[in-house]
Amino acid sequence: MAAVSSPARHRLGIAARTLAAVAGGYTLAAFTTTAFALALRLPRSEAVMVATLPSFLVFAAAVVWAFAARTAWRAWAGILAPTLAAAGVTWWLHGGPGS
Amino acid sequence: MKETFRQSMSWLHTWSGLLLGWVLFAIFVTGTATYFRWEITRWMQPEIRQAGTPYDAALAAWQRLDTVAADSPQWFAELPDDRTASTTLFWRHAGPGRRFGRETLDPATGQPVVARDTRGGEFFYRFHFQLQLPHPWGRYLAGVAAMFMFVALISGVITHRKMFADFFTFRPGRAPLRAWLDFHNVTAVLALPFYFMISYSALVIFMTMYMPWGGRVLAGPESAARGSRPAAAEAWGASADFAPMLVLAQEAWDTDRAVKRIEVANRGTDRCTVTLTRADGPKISLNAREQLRFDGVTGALLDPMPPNTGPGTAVHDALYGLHLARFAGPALRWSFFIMGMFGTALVATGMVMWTMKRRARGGAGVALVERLNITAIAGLPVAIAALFWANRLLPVGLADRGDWEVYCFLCAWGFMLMHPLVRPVMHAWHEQLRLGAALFLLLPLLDALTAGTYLRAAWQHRDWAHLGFNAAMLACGLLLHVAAGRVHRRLGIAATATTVPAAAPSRA
Repeated sequence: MAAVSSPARHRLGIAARTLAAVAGGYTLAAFTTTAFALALRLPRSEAVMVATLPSFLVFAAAVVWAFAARTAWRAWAGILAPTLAAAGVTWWLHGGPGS
Repeated sequence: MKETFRQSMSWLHTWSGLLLGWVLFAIFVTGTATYFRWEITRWMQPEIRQAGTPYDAALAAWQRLDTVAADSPQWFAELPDDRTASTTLFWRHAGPGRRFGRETLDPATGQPVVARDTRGGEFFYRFHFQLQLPHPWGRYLAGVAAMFMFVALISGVITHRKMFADFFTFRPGRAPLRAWLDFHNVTAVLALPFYFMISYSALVIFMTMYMPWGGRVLAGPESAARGSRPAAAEAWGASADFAPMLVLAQEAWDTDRAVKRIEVANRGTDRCTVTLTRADGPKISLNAREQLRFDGVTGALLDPMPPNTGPGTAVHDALYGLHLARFAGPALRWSFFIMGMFGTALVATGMVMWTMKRRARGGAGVALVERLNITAIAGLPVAIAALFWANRLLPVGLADRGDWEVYCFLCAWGFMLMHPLVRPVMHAWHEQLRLGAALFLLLPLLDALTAGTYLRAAWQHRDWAHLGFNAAMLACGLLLHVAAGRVHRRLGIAATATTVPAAAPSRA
């Protein structure tokens, strides 16, 4: 790997993955929480509990993925796609196009 | 980035462990001490002796609140039990805003304690998640540290998949790095479920702070109603007599596990309630507490509150309860304490290994990490010992004495930060470990010299909090002494190693 990429490129890759892990991972965890909370149709406090409890597992999984993916591009794509899906579900359940 | 999954996880383990390693180390040390929070308070306030039953203390607490907080809308009292000696009162001041009064009572007299001012074990408890930083930044930093720890645990397990087999491999006499890695693995395997539980439950405890979005999108009628409770405008109402409520509690709960908390809500209104909570039992969940609720106006016993049910709430409460370990009796509490010590060692060995692998390469980064390691691992014990020394040496009448104890802690830690800047690395390790060892080993002697009458009384009454604290300090001192001895031996090896190249420069 060191033979293929220059040190600057290597560092840029790590920076991109770190950003995907921290900012992307947190955003993904936040949107899966909101989507889950809205989709559960449980009493409010119970819905918040059930949706929020696993959120740090989602965050941790995203961090692992960000550094395990073969390229930084794949790392970003793998986090961005489910984030957009969860954000879409949240928007739709929270009122959707009608509100 | 790296060729294999395991290699990339090894990279992640290294950096997620290192970046907040110093914060994690301090959180582990203070959190482990917090398991004995009330015993620490009792050593730091030796003037207060346990006296009477919790029911005497409850009556005295009520009378005191009636004197100092007659017009308050809300009262709280925490009563002494077999681990605590004093009563703590809180009350909300009348009028707008959320301002509270606080007082510590001697349960024997029902009057404010005449004891040295100290934060006691509260200091460790607060530092554990607030890190002596302004609110809310300490809690956020502690949360980030918990998340880093969780990621480091996952990536560490993936990296060292073979560690369960390696558990039986301990090569203390081999190459130093190998021995450190073995020790790192042993401490990891011995308490691995504990580390997962403690890091995840740490995130869960403050999850509405760290991940508030679920509640935000569901902001429904419940939260709106809570915010707009009408202020009590009616005339100050009469309230029921407390003694009969206490008699009822006394009949329901024995003195082994008696009333622990009194809460009076909506005082002065017709919605006034008195809630008595029983001391923590062997149930893990904090929601499983036994309570008696009374109508504050008529004194009638009310139906118990419907418990919050649902699997989410149950999991949350169980994780919360596990983290605090209030349910644990002495044996289980010691087990948690020892697992906390293992966690402390796990963090410390990881950070030391980072520098050992890179020491030969040198550079500013390694030099910085090496010095911060010394300040955290060897310096924090010195700072904690300084806190205890200050507790015994500061004049009892000093204003804001409790704050001065904390300043002593921070000053001592500051010195331990500067010391490695002017000393060679291994010498700095050695000197700080020796200083910590001396301070802890001499602490029981200082206790005997400055608080001898209390120590004698503790011996006569078999007060294990006071005596056990001194024993634990001796154990801490011995541990640091052994560590210092090992560093000293390496210093000797290093000294001969540097003289050899001087004689034969070609081998340098």
